[in-house]
Amino acid sequence: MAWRKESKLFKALKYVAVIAVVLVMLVPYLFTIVASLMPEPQLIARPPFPFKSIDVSLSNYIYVLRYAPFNRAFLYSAAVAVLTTCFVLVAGSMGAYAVAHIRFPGNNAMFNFIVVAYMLPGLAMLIPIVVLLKTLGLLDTLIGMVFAHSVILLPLMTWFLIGIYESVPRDIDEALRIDGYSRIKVLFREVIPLARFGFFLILIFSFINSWNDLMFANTVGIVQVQLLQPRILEFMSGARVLYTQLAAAGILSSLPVIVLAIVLQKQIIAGIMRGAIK
Amino acid sequence: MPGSRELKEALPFLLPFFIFFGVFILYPLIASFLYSLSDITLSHLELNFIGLRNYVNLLYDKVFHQALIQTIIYVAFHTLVGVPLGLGIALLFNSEFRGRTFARVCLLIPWATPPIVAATVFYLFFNPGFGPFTYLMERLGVWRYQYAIFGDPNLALFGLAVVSLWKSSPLFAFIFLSALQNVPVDSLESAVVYGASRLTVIRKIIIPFLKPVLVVNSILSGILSLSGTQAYDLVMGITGGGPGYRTYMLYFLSWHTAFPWNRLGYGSAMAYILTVIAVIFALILIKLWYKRG
Repeated sequence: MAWRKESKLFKALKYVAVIAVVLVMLVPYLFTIVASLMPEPQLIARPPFPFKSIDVSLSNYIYVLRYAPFNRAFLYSAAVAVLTTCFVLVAGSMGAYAVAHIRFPGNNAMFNFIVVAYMLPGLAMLIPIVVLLKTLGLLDTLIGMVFAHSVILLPLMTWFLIGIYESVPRDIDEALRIDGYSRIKVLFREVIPLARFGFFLILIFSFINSWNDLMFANTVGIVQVQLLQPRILEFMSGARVLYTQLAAAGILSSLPVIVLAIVLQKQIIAGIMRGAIK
Repeated sequence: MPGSRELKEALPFLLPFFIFFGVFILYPLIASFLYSLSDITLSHLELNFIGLRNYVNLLYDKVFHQALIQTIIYVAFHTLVGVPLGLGIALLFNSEFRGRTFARVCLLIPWATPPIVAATVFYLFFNPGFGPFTYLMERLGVWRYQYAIFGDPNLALFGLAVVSLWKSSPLFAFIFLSALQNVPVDSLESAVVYGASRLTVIRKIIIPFLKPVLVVNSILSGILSLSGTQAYDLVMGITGGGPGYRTYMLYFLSWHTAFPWNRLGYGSAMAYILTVIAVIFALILIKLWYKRG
C-alpha cells in the first residue's frame, strides 16, 4: 500500500508493541514449561525462576506419566475426542449437505436455527442431559460422554460445514445425478473429496473442542470415564498443591492441541477468520 | 406443493441431525424449563411442580444478586477492554514487519490452550510466592509483599478477566484481521494521496468500515464471558468462586447450584435466564454476520 514512509520512531514503536504482544502471549506458557522441569523445592524458593538459575529434569513428567489415573484419562480423552469427531463429521456432513445443496422449503429457517442452537449455553442442556443419561444408564460411560460433547459440537460444526459445502458448485450434483448417482454417493464420493480441505479443518476443530472441554467432562464423567481436563483440577485442589506436577500435567494435556495448532497454523488461522469460533 | 420433491430428498440427510437435536438439545431445553418450575434433585428424580417459586426465590437470593452484579462487571470489562485490545492487535499485525508469521503463531497458543490449562498457567504465573510477575511487581513497588491477586476480594474478579482476555483477545484479533483484508483499498489510497495521517485514516475509514465486526466481536465477547468456557473453566480452576463469593458468576453459580449443591430445579431457573440472554445475542448475530450470501 502507498503509505508514506514510516518514520524511524514509528517503526521502533511498532516493533516494541509487537514484541510486547508476543511476550504477553508466550511468557506465561513458557514459564509453565520451565516450572514443569524444576524440582518442587526450587520452584517454591524465592526469588522466582528468571531471577535465579535452576536444575532441569524430567522427573515431574515421569511422575505424572506413571500416575495411572492420568494415563487412563489421557486415553479416554483421546477416545472421546476421536469418537465425537467421527459422529459430528458424519451427522454434520449429511445435515450440512442438505442445507447447502438441496433447495428445500424452510432451508433458510433451518440455517438460522442451527446458528441459534450453537450459541445456547451448554449448561441449559447439561442439567437434563445428566438426568437423561442417568435414566438410560449412560451416565459415566464412553458413549454418554460422546453424546454430551456432540451437544456443543454438532450444531457448531454443521453450521461451519454448510459454508464449506456451499463452496462446492451445485452443478456437480446435477451432472452426477443425471449419471445415476444417488445423493448420498454424491456427498461422499464428490462433495467431501472436493471440500477435503475444509472437511479436514472441521476434523481438527472438533478434536480440539472436545479435548478442551471441562464442564461436560466434569459433570458427565464422574468415576469411570474421567477425562483429562477435570484431572488437572485434582492436581490443583489437593490438601497440598503439587505445583511442579501440576505444571507438567497442564503442559502434557495441552500438548496435542498446541502441536496441532502450530503445525496447521495457516489453515487454522484461515478457519478462525471464516468464523469457526467459540 | 412446490419444493416437496426437494424436501423428500433432504429429509433423510437431515434425519440424523434432527434425531440427535430432538433428543439431546430440544428435549433438554424443554425439560430444563420444566425443572426450573420444580424442586427436582439428582437423588430424587421426580417432577414436583412448585410454580414460579424458584424464580421468585431468585429475587431474594443474596448470592444470586452478587453473582449477577459480578457477571455484569466481568462481561463489561471483558468486552470493553478485550474488543479494543483485539482491534489494536489486529491493526498492528495487519502492517508489515519482520517475523509476522511467527507473531501470528504466538497468537494461536492462547487460543488453542485448553481453558483449564490457561487457568493452571496463570495460577502459577500469578502465584504470590513464586510467580515471576508477582515478584517483579513487588520489586517495582507496585504490589505488596507476596500479594495474592486471586485472594484479594476486590481484584480477584479482574484477575480472572485478565486471564480470560489472554485467552480470547487473539480470537477477536483474528476476526478483526479477516475484516481488515476487505477494507476498500481505493479509499485508503486516495486518503493517503491527500495527505491524511495514519491516525486519521484509522479513525475516518478503517473504524467505520469495521463497525459491524466490532459489534460481532462484542457479542462474541459477551457470550464467551457470560456463558462460555471463560465463565466456567477459569473460575473452576483458579478461584473456585472465592474468596467468599467474590468470583461467583451466573454460569458458574448455576452449575454449582445444580450439581455440587444438587438443586437441579433452582440451578435450571438460573440457567434459563442465561439461555434467554444468549438467544437474544444469537439473534443479533444472525442479523449482523451470519447472512447467507
